[in-house]
Amino acid sequence: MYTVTIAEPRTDPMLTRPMVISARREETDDTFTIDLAPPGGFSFRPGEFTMLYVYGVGEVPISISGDPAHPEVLTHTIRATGKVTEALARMRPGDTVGVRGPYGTGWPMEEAKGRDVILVGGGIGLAPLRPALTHIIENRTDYGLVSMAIGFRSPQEMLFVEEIREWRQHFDLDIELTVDRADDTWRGSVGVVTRLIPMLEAGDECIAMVCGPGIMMTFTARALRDRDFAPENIYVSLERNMKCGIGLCGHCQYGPLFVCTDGPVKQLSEVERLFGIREV
Amino acid sequence: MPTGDLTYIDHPLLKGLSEEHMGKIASCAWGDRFEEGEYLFREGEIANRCFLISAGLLALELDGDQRGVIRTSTIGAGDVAGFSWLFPPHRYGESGRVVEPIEATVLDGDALRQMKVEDHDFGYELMMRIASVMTVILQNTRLQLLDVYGDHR
Repeated sequence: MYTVTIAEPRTDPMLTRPMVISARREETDDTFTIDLAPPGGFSFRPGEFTMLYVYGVGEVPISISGDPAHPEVLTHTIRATGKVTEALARMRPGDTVGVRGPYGTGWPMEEAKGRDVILVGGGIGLAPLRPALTHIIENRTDYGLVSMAIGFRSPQEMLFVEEIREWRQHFDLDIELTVDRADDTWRGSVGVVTRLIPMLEAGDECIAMVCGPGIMMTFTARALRDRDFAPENIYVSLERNMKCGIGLCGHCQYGPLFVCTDGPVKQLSEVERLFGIREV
Repeated sequence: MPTGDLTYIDHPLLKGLSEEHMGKIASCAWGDRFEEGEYLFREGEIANRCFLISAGLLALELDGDQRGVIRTSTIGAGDVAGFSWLFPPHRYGESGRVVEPIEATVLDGDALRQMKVEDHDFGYELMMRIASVMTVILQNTRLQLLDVYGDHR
């Protein structure tokens, strides 16, 4: 007689929970957003990520881009850049993906309470910041001045266009937007996102949350340091190739850190010295 | 034309200038406003003006021939537009078109050039400030060229 032990998904971190795609939206030519319907809901903190599994193809770490106040919907915004994300791009509502998580450290929403907040997002890096901003909007009185600088490659490659328009209508939010390149039909700012940093209002002890490509984060951190931000008050979201997501395999090692469990969100004071080391 | 009074200006380029040097700049400066669609300067024209922007949005554009107009960057309050008056052949390298109404202090480049030759202390001070602005522009341009949001697999 055989005894079969079925692992409980909630207690075995290596087992996926199947979830059905309930909605899908095109953001740009290569980026899309999917909503999943998690049975029983899915609680998470802004900045956390999940491992998404396309059955028979593979698994990728993707930051959650949805609203933490709505655990009945689990949202991810994904750029199709590899085998698994391209497979995800082909999936449609009704298809099923496997989900593990949530994992990682989140944005410092508690530490930021009562303080001014600056968010800086570049390209797909806006996706992990979106839950932080929606959390702030829903708990607006908990925070001081709130500004956001957003950079994209071009107007055609902007994410969350309708939502950005809506954010800009909030009288108590300063949302600045720029693109790296544009033609003469674009009426907004053209230039790198770091140019926006000096324009953002922020008092002493302001908390900054930064997410984007590595080079963009390095230069943004410099621009914030030029404004006398203490490195302890600057939080960056690191990106590394991950496999297990739970600190076992070492694929995401970054110096002495495992990005999956020690990160992805870290204070600049803990990682600044690693930024300039090419071998890391 | 030159107002001789710069007390109303709060522009980073002039911050901390001595009264004497401020007086020199005031002798060749005036305030002006430019409406949407107007050009402050055009690519290839003789360059004899510098603009210290205090409000608005200015697009810097290049004629890309068959690619049409290429907007290389936009600048606004606290920025400086027009450096081509400094060096031969004194022709603007790009065009400056108003996207949102611009309020600016306009400097007479010919007069400034003459003054910095006659007074080297003034010239040094001016060139250090302009070099600092140009360094930031150069760094930003480098970052822009890196195409950080591109797919670089």
